[in-house]
Amino acid sequence: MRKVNFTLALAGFFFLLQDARAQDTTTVVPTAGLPAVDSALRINDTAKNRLINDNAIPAEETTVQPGNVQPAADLSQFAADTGKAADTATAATGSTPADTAALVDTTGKVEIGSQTAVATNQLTGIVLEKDGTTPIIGATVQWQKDQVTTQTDIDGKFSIENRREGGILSVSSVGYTAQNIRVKPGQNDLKVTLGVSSDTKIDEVVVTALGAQRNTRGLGYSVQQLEGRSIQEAKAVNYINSLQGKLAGVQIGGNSGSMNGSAKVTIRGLKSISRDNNALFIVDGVPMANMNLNSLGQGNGGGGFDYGNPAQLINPNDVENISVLKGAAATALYGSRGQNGIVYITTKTGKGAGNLTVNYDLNFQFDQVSVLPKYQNMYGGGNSDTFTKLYANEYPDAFGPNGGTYNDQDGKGSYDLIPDYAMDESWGPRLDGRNVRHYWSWDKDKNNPDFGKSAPWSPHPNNVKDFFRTGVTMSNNVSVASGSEKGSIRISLGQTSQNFVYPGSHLDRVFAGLNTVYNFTDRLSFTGGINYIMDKSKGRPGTGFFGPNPMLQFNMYGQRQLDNEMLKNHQYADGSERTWNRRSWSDAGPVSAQNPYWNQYKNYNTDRNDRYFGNLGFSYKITDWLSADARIFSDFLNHLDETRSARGYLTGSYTKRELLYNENNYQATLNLNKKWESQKLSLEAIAGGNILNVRANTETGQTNGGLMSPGVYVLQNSVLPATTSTSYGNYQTNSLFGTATLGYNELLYLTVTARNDWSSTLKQTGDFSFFYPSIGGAFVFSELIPKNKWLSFGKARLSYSQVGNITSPYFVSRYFDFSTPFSSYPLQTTPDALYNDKLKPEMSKEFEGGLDLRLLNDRIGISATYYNRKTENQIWTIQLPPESGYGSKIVNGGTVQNQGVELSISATPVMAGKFSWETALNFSKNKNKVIDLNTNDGSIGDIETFVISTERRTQRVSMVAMKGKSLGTLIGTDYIYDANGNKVVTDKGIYDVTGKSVVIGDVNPDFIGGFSNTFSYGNIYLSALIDFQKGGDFFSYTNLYGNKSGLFAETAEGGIRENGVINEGVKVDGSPNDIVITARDHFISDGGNRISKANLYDGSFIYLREVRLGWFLPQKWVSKANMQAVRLSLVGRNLWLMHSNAPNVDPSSITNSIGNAMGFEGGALPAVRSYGINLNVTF
Amino acid sequence: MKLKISLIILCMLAVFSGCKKFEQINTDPARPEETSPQYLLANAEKRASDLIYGPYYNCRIGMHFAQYWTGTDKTDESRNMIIDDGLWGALYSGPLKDLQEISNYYDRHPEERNPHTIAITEILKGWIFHVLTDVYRDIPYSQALQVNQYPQPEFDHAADVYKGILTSLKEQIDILQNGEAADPVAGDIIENGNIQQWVKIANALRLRIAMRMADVNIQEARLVIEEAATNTLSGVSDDAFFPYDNTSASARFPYNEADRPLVEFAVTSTLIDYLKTTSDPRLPVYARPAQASNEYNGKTYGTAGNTPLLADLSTPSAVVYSPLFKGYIITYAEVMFLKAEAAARGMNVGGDAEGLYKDAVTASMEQWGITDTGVVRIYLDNNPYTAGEWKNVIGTQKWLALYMQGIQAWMERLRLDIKKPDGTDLFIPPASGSLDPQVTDVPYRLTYPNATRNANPVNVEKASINIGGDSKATRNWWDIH
Repeated sequence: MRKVNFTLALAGFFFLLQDARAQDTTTVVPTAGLPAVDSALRINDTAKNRLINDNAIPAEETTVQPGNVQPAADLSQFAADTGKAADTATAATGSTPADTAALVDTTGKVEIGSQTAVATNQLTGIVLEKDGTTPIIGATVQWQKDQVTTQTDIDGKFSIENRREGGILSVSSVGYTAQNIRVKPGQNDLKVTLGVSSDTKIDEVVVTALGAQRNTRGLGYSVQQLEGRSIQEAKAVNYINSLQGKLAGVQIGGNSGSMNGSAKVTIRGLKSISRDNNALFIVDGVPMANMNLNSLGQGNGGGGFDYGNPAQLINPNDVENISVLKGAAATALYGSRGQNGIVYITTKTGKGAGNLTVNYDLNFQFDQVSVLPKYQNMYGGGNSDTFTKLYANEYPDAFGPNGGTYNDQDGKGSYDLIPDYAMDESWGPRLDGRNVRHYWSWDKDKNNPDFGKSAPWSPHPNNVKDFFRTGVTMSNNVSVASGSEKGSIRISLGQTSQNFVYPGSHLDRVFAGLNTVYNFTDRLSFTGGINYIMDKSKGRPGTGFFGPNPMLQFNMYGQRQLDNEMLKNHQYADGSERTWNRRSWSDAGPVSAQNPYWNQYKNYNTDRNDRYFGNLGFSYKITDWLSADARIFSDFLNHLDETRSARGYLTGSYTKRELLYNENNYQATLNLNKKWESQKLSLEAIAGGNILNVRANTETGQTNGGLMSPGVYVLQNSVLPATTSTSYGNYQTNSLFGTATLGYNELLYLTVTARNDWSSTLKQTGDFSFFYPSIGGAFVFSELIPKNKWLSFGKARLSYSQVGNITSPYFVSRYFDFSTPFSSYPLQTTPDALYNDKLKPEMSKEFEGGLDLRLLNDRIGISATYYNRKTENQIWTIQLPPESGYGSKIVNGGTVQNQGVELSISATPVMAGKFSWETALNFSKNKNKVIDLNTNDGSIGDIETFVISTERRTQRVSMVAMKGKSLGTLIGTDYIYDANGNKVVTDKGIYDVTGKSVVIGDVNPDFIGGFSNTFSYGNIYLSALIDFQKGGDFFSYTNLYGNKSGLFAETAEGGIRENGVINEGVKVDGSPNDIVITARDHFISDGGNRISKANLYDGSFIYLREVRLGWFLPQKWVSKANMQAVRLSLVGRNLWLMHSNAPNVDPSSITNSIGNAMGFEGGALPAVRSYGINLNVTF
Repeated sequence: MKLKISLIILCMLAVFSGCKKFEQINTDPARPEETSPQYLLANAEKRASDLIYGPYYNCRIGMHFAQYWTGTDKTDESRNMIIDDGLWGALYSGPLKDLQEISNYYDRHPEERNPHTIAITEILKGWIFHVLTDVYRDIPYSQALQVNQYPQPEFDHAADVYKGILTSLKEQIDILQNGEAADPVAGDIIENGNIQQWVKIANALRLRIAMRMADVNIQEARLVIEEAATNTLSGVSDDAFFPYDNTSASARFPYNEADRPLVEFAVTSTLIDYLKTTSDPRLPVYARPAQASNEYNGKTYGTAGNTPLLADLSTPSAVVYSPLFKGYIITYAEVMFLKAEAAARGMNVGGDAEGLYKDAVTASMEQWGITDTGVVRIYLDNNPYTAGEWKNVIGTQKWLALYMQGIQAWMERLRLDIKKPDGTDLFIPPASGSLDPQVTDVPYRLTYPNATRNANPVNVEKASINIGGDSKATRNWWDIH
């Protein structure tokens, strides 16, 4: 036993090495992105080892009982719902648990051929590779007790003497995981299959283009793979946000306060000037619709609701792993679709699940608003320091029986002080506690119980914070899986419900999924999966400069003294609204702001998504090295959103929009996988064809002229005829493609791909067929140097590829648009965009090179990648000068270059007994540059600036493509500086401003990255992820208007309201400025509405993004409860904005759209921090 | 084996030969591939009026720079800071393009060619181009709207644009009066295809355009004016306007209070005070009394911020905030003021200046619903024509008459440098100061928009140099003090 323990300890130690290594290879960029996740998994292993030692249960021991399924005493099942739980009589493998190392299935298996009593002293059997057919020659078979040993013969067969019932038989072979089998009476003819050990040259297998599993060793490009648990433990309802900081070169933008709003995924920088820049999401081969459902306003600071990007509509609990294909070489086979990189998600199956494996996952989380501006609490609403006096004698109906609060004894009688309700700014009287008539003290005719009351004019410092409640999110997921030789099945049912931080906001999701495999014969198999997701939300907050965004009245135009308790009372008994922004004491109608609770409860917005997606197909093994595959991939998405404005003081309105989207892919492939051992050659190849067919249809409708009857939200309740519209976006692309990887001696690899597309969207041009190739190589140079502990692995890789791209439907021939008829006149108009019947496909070229190293016995892994991509001949919508008659035209032209580096380092600095510390860092820097902005045919020239988007409100700041600068340069007005760099002030004492727009910033960050550390002790682990960004400028409405309206602390600090402001700078004559202006004039005139630069901020941040404290319950407890594994963790997300250069907002949480507009913080919703508990139980 | 693979490849090829279907797939089911001129004409008329009377270009630019209105809480424009620079783009790529597309349509379908329809589209183009050249000075004209030939058109000198428009208007009149017969014009919302009415409108526009250049080219102006005056709008019932109605939300006057109370603008004290001192019967038609005091109380033009409060200010009247208000192209009253000015300048337009002035004021009163001749007579007695001050007398009255036609009133303010009839200042600079250091008083033009600056940079730069700098302080060619 002692020896066993020692061996185990060694094995355990080895584990860590292997695992660290496994990660390095998982991603060609080692651990890089997924630090936290992987580390935790490693802890898992540590825990396992620890437990093994503690309990003195040999990990590699399995009790085999004839006809009786006994779960292995294998803690590898700890991790979440692995889908690969113990098989019948699975021997514990001692290798990576199924959910850690991607697709290397290290689990071996033992079958009992004969269960009759055998009278001999012999035990016979056969040892095979995992495929169940290839014999393993020369494997060692040994009785542990007395070291009786034999080896398998040329057929993998063995026969061993000294048979002992109940004894432990050990089967091992170099490069394979060992099996320990407890032999029970009567067993014989064992069929032992050995899993592949990750301690072999097999390295890691990752999912690549078309879902093909490939060994990273031979890849000429970078692929990074994350395990499902990275999005399952510390859950974000939009799981995409959980990827933040975990992937090198991947930038994720969102707004944590926007109730599962959009997460924009940009891989290796912005590439397309005017078309989509988002990564493509593919789930089990199904390309997921991920269109921008939001209006333009979400991107440019205007109004609207953020419905979230549809890629989030999958069940995160079903995710087995996430593979990120970043560069053109990795995505070449996807052609048009893979332009912006691909996030390839593989879901769990029932493979290896045994007769029955059940997993239950419970997540319970609280959401709290974490970043709010610093408000001033000295001055209230209005724009002068006085109140209006209202005399009881003049307006007796406006007073209660006791008349007014004050009486100056001047013969005019008693009066009340009236604040300026109509003014939605806070430049008003000092909050000195004088009794005034607040907005809620009028409306006698509505039986207002508060009528006639005066109350103190006093601060309510927490009035914004109090508006938000603590959100509660609960998720449940149950999965049931079963797998055998004949096939497997996994069924998953899940549910999420969320009451978000906004009053009245609620979300429900339901998930159902089925994955199944059935092997009809050895050659013919079927696989299929189908998923349904229902997602519905109510009471989403508006975004941007838009009434239904509560931050508009809290942070942009509002009054500071409001008492949230009074705001809650948002309507009178007769159902009419009670808002603070009433027109006057005698007129309760809102000037602009409606009561925020009225917005949430009466003007609520609802939306619903129903998504079905899945795939079905057959696979036929023609020979053992060639198979044919035919599959259908389908995605149906139905999105409905409805926006309401209650009829009250306003006439009311109702808008609905319904989108139906269906994409089907019909695909047939031939897959070749052959080795010529004698020539040391290997070939992996795929050839096939695909038909992609998309049907998209959007119907919108809106009422006009108000609602006839209040409270009824249908189009027919429209005072004037409702308007409706229908639009389509159908297209088809047919493709033929092929890829082949030729390997030599596990030293050199060469990959080529080729694809030809025929696209319907270019049909009318005649030029609708296009071809593009890629080539890549990998050189495992460590094969050439003697084994040493400094460099355990070294690989260089290189690739070059071209990627084609197509246009959107209907842009290559003439159309006219319908307008709403006028009276009896039908109207049609010429579209703003000019069609182009000479359009050609787009082509990008990318060069990528990289190095993967493992050092110090794999204790350190380093991976570095350099890429240089030129997206040229882009299809983009060039802006035409309007005097040409058109605003834009689809053209070929424009060149954008992206150059960058991605660096990942992972290390295990400490491994001491029960304790280990693992750390990982990923870092990426992308520099993009607009090389050219003209059309290729020379018809449009001299273009230096192309406006991508202009913010809605001041219309001074634009995100542009500017020749020689980066794609995403911000232009706007700036201060005027003298020769010494001092700001110049005008004779009025305000800063002077440039007449024209100049470059003021750049939305692209200088670099981004993530840093994770995991500490584990026994079966407890603590993991923390910090992500960071340097640079990336944005223009902030929150700061502009918060100061302009006198809401923020800055407007009442240092006595500036009392004493005025002298702007730091020089007068035109060069002398120091000494002109005093009022604080209000300063913030109105010197702010970003006039001088854009004044409210332009650096978006750098350091964020404690994720923390997990987990505990694997001791196996002896778990076993007693008849469970396989229980994991309990405390999790937190978006916990702490540790550093930011921008005041009052969270710079990492300002994105409300996956559209191209960036760099505009249009009144961002507050950042939300989440923390909670995750429980995962496997039965 | 090989057979199987061949079979599969064969099947695939069969599939790909289905590319023929592509044309059908790439045909938009929701939009027509061909249109009809009447749909484009109707749309262009409506769109042009929607823009010229829109909430920004009329309310915040025209009505501000003519000093009729000033902002209540948002006062940037009242202080010369323009945020929305879209008028140019909206007119060029909106109504002008649709009008151009009518010609393109007839090129595709020559057998349907209707010269009267084309003439009307050209008159409408003249109206819109004139607005553009007055607001911006040099603009693309001869190369405009021909995207395939001139994707980045050159700019024409404003004087040449004037020449071009005047020539075109005369040609259209000729076609309508003396050209070949044509089918009735369909899709004309403004005059319902009434050819003679379009001749009158074209002549009225010639009067307006020629008079605007009278200070710099009196000979040319005289020729045009004397000719055009003979056959033009002859009564208020001839007023040319887009007839908004209430049949749908988009059929309403673009800025109206049908759905919500409008709180963005107050009437200036410039206008209110003048109307009050002259006991102008149009006061209650132009403005409504302050809610709190029930008295007419204007806001000093260009005052920053929300002081005084809206409740203490006069806001525009229910008449002008009505969804049924008219989108004027040109009115009989304006024609009469033009004739009066022509007479005052010694041209022969069939009448003496004083009589024409009285007719003009009377026409304005009638247009605004004041038909009591006694009231009008008293008003005229109190506001008489004085030959020595004809510029200010006619100017002030014309300014009052052009209420709601912000852009035209702004241009006339610039051209005539209108003062009160007694020679004292009528207008004031923005009370809280201009936010644009280049113009302290009123802008003379709008700067070239970013849309053209970015997409036609070389030509914009040339034009900027030609006009003497692309700033709001650059005067138009006809504005020689």
